[in-house]
Amino acid sequence: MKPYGNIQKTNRAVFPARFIFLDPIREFIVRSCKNLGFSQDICYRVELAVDEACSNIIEHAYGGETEQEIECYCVETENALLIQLHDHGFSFNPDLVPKPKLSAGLEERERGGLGLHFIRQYMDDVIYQEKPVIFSGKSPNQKGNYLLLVKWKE
Amino acid sequence: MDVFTTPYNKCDVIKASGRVDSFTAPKLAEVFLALTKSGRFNFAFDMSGIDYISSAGLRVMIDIQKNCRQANRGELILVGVPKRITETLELVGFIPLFRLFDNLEKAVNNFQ
Repeated sequence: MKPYGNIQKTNRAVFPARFIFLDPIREFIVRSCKNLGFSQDICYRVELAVDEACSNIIEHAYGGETEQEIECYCVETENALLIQLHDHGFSFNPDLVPKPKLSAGLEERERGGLGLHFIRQYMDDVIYQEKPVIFSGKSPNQKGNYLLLVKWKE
Repeated sequence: MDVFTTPYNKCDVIKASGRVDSFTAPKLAEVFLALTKSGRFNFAFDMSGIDYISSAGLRVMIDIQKNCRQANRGELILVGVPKRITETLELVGFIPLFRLFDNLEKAVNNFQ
């Protein structure tokens, strides 16, 4: 693991896997972004990346909205913001999703893959594992997807 | 997110305000779908009041543009796109796929 620096604050929240919770999820993330002094532009990008990741969890890992949960750790360190998203859904490895064709003409443009593109462009590190990357949480069920998104301070 | 439709002779102005994400995008899609089902295919999408848009919103835009451009029956043009959202569109190569206008009057006149 890279030198992310000392942990200053750990925030944990659990949300139902429903799109209506994207707003509170974004607010949860933006609070930490502001604590780290990120600019408005960076806050917007991180917020969007997390929105896309959570939307993917709901659509692809859980196969649609469900009462199952998305566990979110938001860890503020000296050098970075670490966001770990965990779900109990189907294995959804973003590295296996084909990249979108961004220069294709209108007829050839596919609808999918844009979310992952934002995640990769807007976050500095994107690490997927089938086991906890930083925190194993309070859940006895450790299986599922773990996605770590990192944004470094300047 | 609020959506308001203003019909003109040759087009409809769709104004969305607020945040467009996976939760609110279906509402936007429904508005466009109802219009295309009634044979309307020229749209000026006023984006000036949009604070935030995710890929869910972008998918709606591309679906509508594909639908409108079929058989050259119409077009979706974008109006008053905020700077931050222009950057989003650039990042996913959307700029070549849509014509952009600064103000609504020019956009509506485009369809005359």
